[in-house]
Amino acid sequence: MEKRLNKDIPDIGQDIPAFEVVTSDNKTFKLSEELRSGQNVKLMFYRGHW
Amino acid sequence: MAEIQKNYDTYAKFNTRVFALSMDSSRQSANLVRKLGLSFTLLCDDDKKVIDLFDLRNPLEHDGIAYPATFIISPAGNICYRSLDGTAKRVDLTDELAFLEQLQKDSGHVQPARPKKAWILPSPKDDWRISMNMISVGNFADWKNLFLLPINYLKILVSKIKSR
Repeated sequence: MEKRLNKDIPDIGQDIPAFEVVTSDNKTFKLSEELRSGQNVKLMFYRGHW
Repeated sequence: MAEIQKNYDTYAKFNTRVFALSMDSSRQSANLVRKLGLSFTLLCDDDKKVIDLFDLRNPLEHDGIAYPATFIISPAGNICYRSLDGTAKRVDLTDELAFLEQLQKDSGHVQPARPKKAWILPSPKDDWRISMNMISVGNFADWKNLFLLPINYLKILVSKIKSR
């Protein structure tokens, strides 16, 4: 699975640009705010209801 | 998801907050939170901005769903762990948690070159979707998964026998 067509998947050591999305309880998630808490953020991408 | 939920407290112990992102709407995600009893937050990227930011869009499936993947982002904002996964083979959580434990002791800890993967048994519903992807859009990315189909049904049969 490491071999896939997408070439620009961020790698170890790379910075992640700030982003924000809506949460399941209709709040706003801001990555920058989460990181400001001093905790690591595990971000898992899943297929969802496809 | 369920396995992450089981380890939710361990993630907290290792100073890590958990989020899972898909292109599902808030309503669909809220239903999943209720159904699985999740303690962590689901993120809803229905316009696929974040999926594209991470270049994880799989255009062959339903006009672009996300490839399964896991990233751990340090408080400094950079990626310290990455696993690009598949339907039937995902990051081994034991390996990921061992990494987080080491990271807590040594902030300069580096991820092993290739994280360990664990085979999972996709549900019959997943197998159906994969079959349809192969037939309708010619996406054979997860063809190996179909070999696990008989094991799925065997597993269901055993669980039904056990529940009697």
